[in-house]
Amino acid sequence: MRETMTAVLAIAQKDWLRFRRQPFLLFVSIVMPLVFIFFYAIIVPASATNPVVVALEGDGAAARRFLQTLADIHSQEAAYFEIVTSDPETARRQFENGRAFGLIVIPADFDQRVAAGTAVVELHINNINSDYSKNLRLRLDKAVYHFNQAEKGSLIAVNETAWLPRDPWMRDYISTSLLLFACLYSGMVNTGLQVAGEWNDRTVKMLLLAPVSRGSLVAGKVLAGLGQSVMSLTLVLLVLTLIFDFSPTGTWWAMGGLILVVLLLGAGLGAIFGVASKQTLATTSILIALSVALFLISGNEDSMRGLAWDGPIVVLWRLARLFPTTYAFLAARSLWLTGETAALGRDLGIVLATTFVVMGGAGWLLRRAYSQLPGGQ
Amino acid sequence: MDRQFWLQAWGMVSKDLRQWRRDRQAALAPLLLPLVLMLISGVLFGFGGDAWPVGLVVESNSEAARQLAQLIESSTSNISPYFQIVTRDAVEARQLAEAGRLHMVITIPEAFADQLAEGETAVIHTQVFNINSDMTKNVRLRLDRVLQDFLAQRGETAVTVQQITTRDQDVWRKAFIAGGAVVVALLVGASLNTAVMMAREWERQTVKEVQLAPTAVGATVVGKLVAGLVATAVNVLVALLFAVVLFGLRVPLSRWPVLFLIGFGIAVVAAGLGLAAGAFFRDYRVVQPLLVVLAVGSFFAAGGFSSVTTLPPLVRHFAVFWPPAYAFEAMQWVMHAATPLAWGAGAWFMLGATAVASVCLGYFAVRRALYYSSEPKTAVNLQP
Repeated sequence: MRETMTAVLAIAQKDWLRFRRQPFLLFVSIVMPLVFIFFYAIIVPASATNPVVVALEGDGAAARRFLQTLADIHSQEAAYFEIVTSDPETARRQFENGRAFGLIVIPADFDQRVAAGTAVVELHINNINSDYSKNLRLRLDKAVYHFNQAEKGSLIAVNETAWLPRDPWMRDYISTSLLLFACLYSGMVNTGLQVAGEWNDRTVKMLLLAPVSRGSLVAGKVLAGLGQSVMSLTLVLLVLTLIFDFSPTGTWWAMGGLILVVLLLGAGLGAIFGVASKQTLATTSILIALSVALFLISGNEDSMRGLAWDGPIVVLWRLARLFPTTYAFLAARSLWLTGETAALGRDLGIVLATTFVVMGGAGWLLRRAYSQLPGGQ
Repeated sequence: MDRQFWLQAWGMVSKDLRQWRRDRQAALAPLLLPLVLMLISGVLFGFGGDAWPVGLVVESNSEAARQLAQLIESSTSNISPYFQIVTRDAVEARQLAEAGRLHMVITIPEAFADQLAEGETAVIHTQVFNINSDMTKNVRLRLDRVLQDFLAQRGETAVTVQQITTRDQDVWRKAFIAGGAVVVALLVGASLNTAVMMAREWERQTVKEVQLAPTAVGATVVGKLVAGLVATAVNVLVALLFAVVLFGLRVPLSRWPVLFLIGFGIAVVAAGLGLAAGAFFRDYRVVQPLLVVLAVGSFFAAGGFSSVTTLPPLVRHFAVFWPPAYAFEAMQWVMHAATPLAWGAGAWFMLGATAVASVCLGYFAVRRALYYSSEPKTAVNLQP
């Protein structure tokens, strides 16, 4: 037993040394997920707040109140509008030269027409993206609805019953996905590269000539990949916590447990791809693409679920339901975001069973590959 | 430049294109990346138009309730209805909302019309599956829009909205995303193909032959740039085909010449930078993930997914200093805007000068790599 442990640790230490000395591995393991997270995370506020220019041509009290309404309306997360300018000339110029895609005109006769009940605000849209056009229009309608209620009294009210007492912020929702993405990415890429690297760098023969069992080789590889993953994952967690203010709910034990299971799942998947490809370039490409695809598909199952009634999104949603990784994202949402545990047992069960099967499969494939060296090695 | 130079450059083009065709693993990444982005992002975020599936339960037979229900069904954005009514059955609607299969169920209660008639605040009920603030906000805003229209119809509003658009029809978000993915194909195709073609000389240990060839640097640079651009053309054509056929990307014929010229300039800039990256790192395992992640990141944060103008202040400031943002913005504008981009001499000069600077950078990086260092930067060294 002690000899086995020594062998496992020796293989892991060898891989960590190699990891430290190869800028390629350091880059792929640590920098890549951080760069992806940075880019993805900075666009999250885009859905919360839309920049718009306002031409405030009326100078009456009602016009100013309407401008204030535009500035004030907000979701739970943020203001609906970022008013870039309210100077009429600047606003029109920015819209005409393409520096603003939305222009709201509060006309000069706004106050008189409000008094008469016939006021109109113009919304000019450079409509090259239907999503932004729709967002601007709906938000302006919201502002007008608020303004009208203030002017005429509240004629209609909405009595809402929500699944959760508070809407989870989009930032936290995405951060949960990004943390799971980092687990999968790290586990997959680090282990996959350590496995494929032995063939790619033609060092596998030395490994096999060592007087250790095949099981020790497999365990050493997985341990090496997990060790590297812990480092990159710690950095990701720090970035999400310190820069994106991610504060998961639930206990640290639950969080750590799920992270460990998903790391193992990723390590198993990485080992399978690594041993199948035996080339680091192919392994890197496939695993990076796979982790991003899983982030987008599995990480959005609960968003897609309510929209998947027709069209291609139904296929994507059904695909998401088939991926076991989806249940890891759902479990993470339960544990770190919503606290809603109705389906947690099922989700964790699927993830644990899949991890067990994947690790078993990876171990079997590695043992087989270590026993059947192709020519040239 | 004599005949030998051109023969040597042609030889390099021919060799690199043959290797590019044979090395499927290296060729696939720049080909597949834009397609994957297009398919996943397009389907996930832009295929269904603006229609949001909801349940609608009308418990009142009054005229006011029917009028409101009719508005919910018929309310439309510029491209599609705002709501898709999935069920009108109260029990089924509640179960679907509880399971997250519907984000909202709207119930117009029996007392709705009476409350309105008596001048009280009329109450409607909603049940929401609030998985995140963004989606819940979107469905709530749609309902607010309907309520505003309902009150406007009844003459109960002081202010209404008049919408004026620069184009007759909105560009669907899926077409915008597809356009962005085509730009990704251009950027990642030019930079990555060229970088891999350069790094491959070290990977395959053929760099010595290149070093020993006469007039090696100039011919190598020209040959690799041309080969990289040919491979890029294939990547872009495949992405364009998908964008046009599956995602409804439509570019007026008159804009293709200017789009081609801008695209060519951008491709040369990217290829020059790719050449420099390939010569600097000399290991395509570094170059590939670096360029792939930068391309994916730029797609989301620099104008591929949504115009920079519509992004938050932090991203807009970042985009000023992030060159791919200019590529996305210029090409998306030419593809989609109501009036074509009026590119003055200054803009063309900037593009040309950047292309020349990028090729020069590539040239000096290749020269330095060929004659001042021949060891791969990532050589395995396990000796303590």
